[in-house]
Parts: sequence; structure tokens; C-alpha cells
Amino acid sequence: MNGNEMALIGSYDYRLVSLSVLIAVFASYVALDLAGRVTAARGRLRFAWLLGGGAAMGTGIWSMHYIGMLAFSLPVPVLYDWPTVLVSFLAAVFASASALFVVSRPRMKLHHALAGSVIMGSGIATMHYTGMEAMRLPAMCHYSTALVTLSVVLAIVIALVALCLTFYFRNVVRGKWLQKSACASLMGAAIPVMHYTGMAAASFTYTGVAPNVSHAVSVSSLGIVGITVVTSMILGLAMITSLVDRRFSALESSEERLRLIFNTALDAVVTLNAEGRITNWNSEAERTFGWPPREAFGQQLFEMIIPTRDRASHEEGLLRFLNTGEEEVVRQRVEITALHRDGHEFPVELAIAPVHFGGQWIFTAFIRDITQHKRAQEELLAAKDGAEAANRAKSVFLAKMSHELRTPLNAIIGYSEMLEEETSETGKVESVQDLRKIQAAGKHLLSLINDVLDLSKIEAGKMGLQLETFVVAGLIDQIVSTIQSTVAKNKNTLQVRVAENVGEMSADSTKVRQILLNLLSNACKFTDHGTIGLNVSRNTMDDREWLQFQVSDTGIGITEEQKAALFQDFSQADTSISRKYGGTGLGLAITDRFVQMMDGYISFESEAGKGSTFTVWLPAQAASEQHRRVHSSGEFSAPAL
Amino acid sequence: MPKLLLIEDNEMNRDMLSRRLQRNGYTILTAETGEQGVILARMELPDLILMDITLPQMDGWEATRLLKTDERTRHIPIIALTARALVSDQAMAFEVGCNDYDTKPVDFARLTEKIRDLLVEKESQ
Repeated sequence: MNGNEMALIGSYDYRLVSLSVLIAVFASYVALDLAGRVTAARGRLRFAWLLGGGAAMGTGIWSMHYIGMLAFSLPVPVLYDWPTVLVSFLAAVFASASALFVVSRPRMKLHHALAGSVIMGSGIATMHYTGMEAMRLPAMCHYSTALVTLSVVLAIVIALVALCLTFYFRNVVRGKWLQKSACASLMGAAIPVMHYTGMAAASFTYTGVAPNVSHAVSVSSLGIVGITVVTSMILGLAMITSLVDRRFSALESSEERLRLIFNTALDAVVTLNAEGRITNWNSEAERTFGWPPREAFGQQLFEMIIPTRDRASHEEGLLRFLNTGEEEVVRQRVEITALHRDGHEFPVELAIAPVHFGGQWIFTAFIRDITQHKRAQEELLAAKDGAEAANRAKSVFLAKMSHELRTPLNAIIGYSEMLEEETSETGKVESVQDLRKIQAAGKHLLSLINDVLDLSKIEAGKMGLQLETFVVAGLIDQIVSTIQSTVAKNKNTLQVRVAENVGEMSADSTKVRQILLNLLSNACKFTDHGTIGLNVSRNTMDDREWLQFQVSDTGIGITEEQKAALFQDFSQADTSISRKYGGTGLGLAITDRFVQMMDGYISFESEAGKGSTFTVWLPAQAASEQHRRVHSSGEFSAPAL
Repeated sequence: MPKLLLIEDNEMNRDMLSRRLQRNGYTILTAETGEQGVILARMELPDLILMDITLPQMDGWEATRLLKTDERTRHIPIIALTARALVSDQAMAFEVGCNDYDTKPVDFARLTEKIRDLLVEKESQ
């Protein structure tokens, strides 16, 4: 080392060092802020944000570097070659832009983060060492390889940490600013660490050789102020822009979301101002009424979509609401006839909701085309009417048919009875037997026809109640004498128990008789050499007097499978039963209907092979029909079994 | 011997019922239509009338109304007979002035009991 080549000892102006660190922190904060912005932007806008953000952040890093350089003073004059300085600036911008690009992607995978940090770290290092190259001074610059390597490694590691932090904080809009500031401080502190490590790697030896200063400029104190101010302004501007834009875009995106909801709604949604003029007209409104939005805007809604004849009433309704607050046409769903652009009319459901906004009323109308719905409803009604008419026709047919069948049967039974009377006088016993068979068959046929007639009368709603007050024991006597022959047929015995307190009841005696005869004849039919029981008692339940009729037998019983369909029309246990025992399967169905008509209840207990018990409760005072209708709405419950 | 007028359009029913009633000791007059029945009732003044309701042209209701508004015949008890066992028919029977009501096919024992009761009642008046 000759006398001209001596080491130059540099010294730091710590105020400028502090300023450089501050600028680094500020730049980091802006970077964090911008990352979210770039993430949210799409297409060209995103590219613009990436470029602008990169420039702002790059400027920040670059300023940090130059102020750091200026904080370092050597005992020789130092000039800077501005084209090289420009290159270093571009390196900083490029590094920042790539970093922003990496962190603004929807996902950041490890290899993206690594590649990004290598690019950013190298970019910063390039900026730093290119910046060093811009120095024009009468000295040589030497680098310590170890420290240079360390500075580059630091740059990359710092970049990786910065990327991860930025990625994490990019969507933090408000709040958490403390975390964000702490993060910015960490990043901001890290950049000078790299810088000053790089500075430590450099040592300067005086050469005395005048440098090439053709493009060199000096940096004065004024220059430092200039750099600081411009940098602060750029960073500040970037931050403010980002902040304002973020607010704006939040608004925009919520509006966009509303617009999307509005336009994808399956109902026509229309907003109106206080005069009833259209201010919004969604896609479904266009589809429903045929008017495109540009033609709909500013029109009176009712003039557009309501047929002329109905228009006035709707307009008046709206006016009345505005003047008096009467909610005749608003806040409720109404079905009205609407008019399509092509002139055809169709049914819609309309609901108008008023909103008091900005000192006046505006309205939102929700309109749904219910043509399909209406059609379906009409078809359903028609089908229902048709089914009811068919059912009525069936009942009328059955009634007529059974009448027609009864007329000849009348003759058959009558003549055979008459012949029997005549024959028994002449003593032809064999003929008497045969004539009785004809009579029995005729009477059986008659009872079947009567059952069908009864049921069809019930179905057609032509069966009424003939209420009368009668002594229950008297009715039971009549029934017992009627049923005796049936009891005897299968060698059964009948046990009748009538409690002393049964007294009188007010009911349709014909129907009570038929109920008990049906149950008793069933019991007789399905029991052989057994016992048929008839128990009658009177009880009070739910403040009401009830008569309980119990018909028991020791016959074949009812199986579990048969129980479910027991009271249904034409349901006999199975076809073998009807072959063996006869009957239409209508007896219990009619019994059940009669019991219901008199507001009573029927239940049964049975075990296959052991017998059955049917229990009927009838109110001692049957209510008149009008009264019954009230009760049938479920005011009182069935007495406990 | 009580004289009964049977108004019935169905030939077999008329024949069967009249023969059985005769065998039970009644004198029987028969008519096939409402108009005939009314004329016969006015001419013969029977002790009791058995009135079928479903008759061609003038039905049993109309014939009953005529007889019950006629001074000469209003005292004659009338039993309405109908195959239609509807409650409304039963109500109608009493409304037009029938003294009793029964359904067809007739339960002969029950019918003769009703005839006897009405004749006894008429005698006592």
C-alpha cells in the first residue's frame, strides 16, 4: 500500500441513519397496505396497482438506501453517477413489484414464497450494490466476501419474513393496526440491517485518482431533504390512495353484491320513487313483463304492468298510503292481473314494501308470475270437483239401484210369505220349509241392499238424525226379542245385563237399534256353541252422561292383521270369511258411521280364537246437528277405554 | 169389516198386498194411480188408505194433500208406503198429513199392527 493508498474511515450521521430506518418502516407499512389492494384488484387495474405499489415501495427502499448512504460520510468528496443510481432505483422497484405479485396471489405456496424472497432479496442486494457502484470518489471500494454474502443472505431471509408477514396481513383493513404497525416496524428495521451489513462489507482506500464525473451529481443537505420529502409524499400518496380506494371498493363490492342478488332473484323486483316511477328493474322483471330496463326506468309502474281498467284503483291506493298511511295496497301480498308488454294478461302476486329513506317514501315491489301456480290450482280444483261429483253420482246410483232392487224383492218376499201362510193352512209341510228358505234368502238380500243404501245415504250426506227420548231398557227388550232367533241358530246363549240406572236417553233410536243389532248379529255369526253378552250401563265422564253398550262373544275373534281395516267399507277379514259367514262387510262400517253421527265412540278388544268385545259409548243426550258441528272441532276427547 | 183402499202402481205388490190383507179380514179397494185413488176415496170413503208414494203423474204426496184438504176425506187415516227409506221422506209424510209411515218391502206383521192401531184410534174418536 503506497502513501496515496490509505484506508478511509467513514463515519455515520446517526440522525440520517434514524431517518433511513423510519423511511424503511413507513415503506413497509405502505407495502403491507398495498398488498391487500393488489389482491383485491383484477385485470388491468391489478397490473396498475402492482406497478404503482412496486414504485412506491421501491422508492421507499431506495430512499432508505440513499439516506443511509448519505448518513455515511467519508473524508473525501463523494459524487453519484445518476444513470447508475437510476438502475439501482429500477432494481428496487422491480424487487418490490415481484414481492407484491407473490403476496397478492390467492394462495402462497412455500416454493412461491421462496422464489419471491430470492427475487426480492436479490433485487434489494442488486439495488444496494449498484447504488454503491454509483459512488464517484477518489477511492477504491473493497468488499469483504463473507459480509457481502451475509448481507445477501440477510436480504433474502428478510424478504421471506416480509413476504410471509405481508401475506398474512394483506386483508386486514381496519383494526389490528397495532399488529400491522409492529409488523411494519419489524420489516422496516430488517431492511436497514441488510443495508448496514452491506456497508460494513465495504472498505474504502484512498487512490487520489479523480473519478469519472461526466454523469455525476453531488448530494447536498437540500438534496437529502428533497429525497425525504418526495419519498414521504409518494409513500403517503400511495397509502392514502389505497385507503380511499379500499373504502370505495368495499362500497362498490357491496353494491355489486346487491345488484347480483337483485338480478338473480326469481321474482321480479322493482323499486319505485315516491311518485311511483321505476328506479330499478331487475332481470326477472324484464323476463316477466317484456320491458327492458332502459325502457322501464322512469315509467309509472302501474301504467306499465296493470291493465287500464284496474290502474286507477292501484294508483289511488298508493296515493292514499302516501297521504294517510293507509296500508291498503302495501305491506301485503295480493293477487292481481298484470299486463305484459305484448298485451296479454296474466295473474301475478304483488307485494309492495314501503321504505322511508332520505326524507321520503320509496317502494320495493316484489312481483311473481303465478300463471303456472294458478293453472295447477284450477286443475286441482277441477279434479276435486270431478271426484266429488263422481262420488255423488256413485251414491245416487247406489241409492237408485237399491231402490230398483227392492221393488221386485218386495214381491218375492211378500208372495213367499203369503204362500207360506196359505200352504201351512193346507198342511203341506215340505213346501212351507222351501218357502221359508226363499223368504230367508230374500230377507238376507234385502238386508244387504239396505246396508248398501244406508252407506250410500251416509256418503251422500242424506242421512240425518231423528232424535227422540226413549227408555233404554225398552229398546234393549225389543232388540233381544229380534235377535233371539239369530242367537239360537249357532246354539249360542245370550246373557243380557242392563244396569238399573240406565234410564232414558235422547238419540236416534233406529240407529241405536241398528248399531246393537249389527254388533249382536256379528257376535252370533262368528260364535258357535258360545256365549253372547250384552251389557248396558250409564256413566258420567267429562261432565257428560254416557251410555255404554258392550257386546261380547266367545267366538273366532279378530287377528292383528284384520284389526286395522275393521271399520272400513267392504272389509271382511278375508274372502273365506264372506263365503262361510256371508255379509257384505258393510255392517261395522255403518255401525261406526252411526256411532260417529251421534257423537259417540266405538272400540273393540279381541283375541283370535277367544272372542271379541265391542264397546259403544253414546251420549245420553245426543246434541242437535248444529251443536255437534261445534263439538266435532275437537272440544272434548274420547272417554278413556 | 174394515174397508181399506190400497193405492199402488206396481201390479205384483198391489196383488200380493191386497190378497194378504183380504186373508186377514179386510175388504180391499185398489187403485193404480193417484188420480184414481183420490176419486175412489171420495166415492167409497174407506176406513183407511195405504198410499204408495212413487206413483206416475200425481204422486202419493199430492194425492194425500188433496184428500187431507177435502172435508169429506180428511178424517180417513193414511199410511204412506215408500221404498225410499230417507229421513226426508218420513218428514214429508207427516208434513202432508199422513197418519203413519212405513217402508217397502213391508214387514206384514208390523203393517197390520199399524192398520189396527189407526183403526182403533179412529173408532175412539
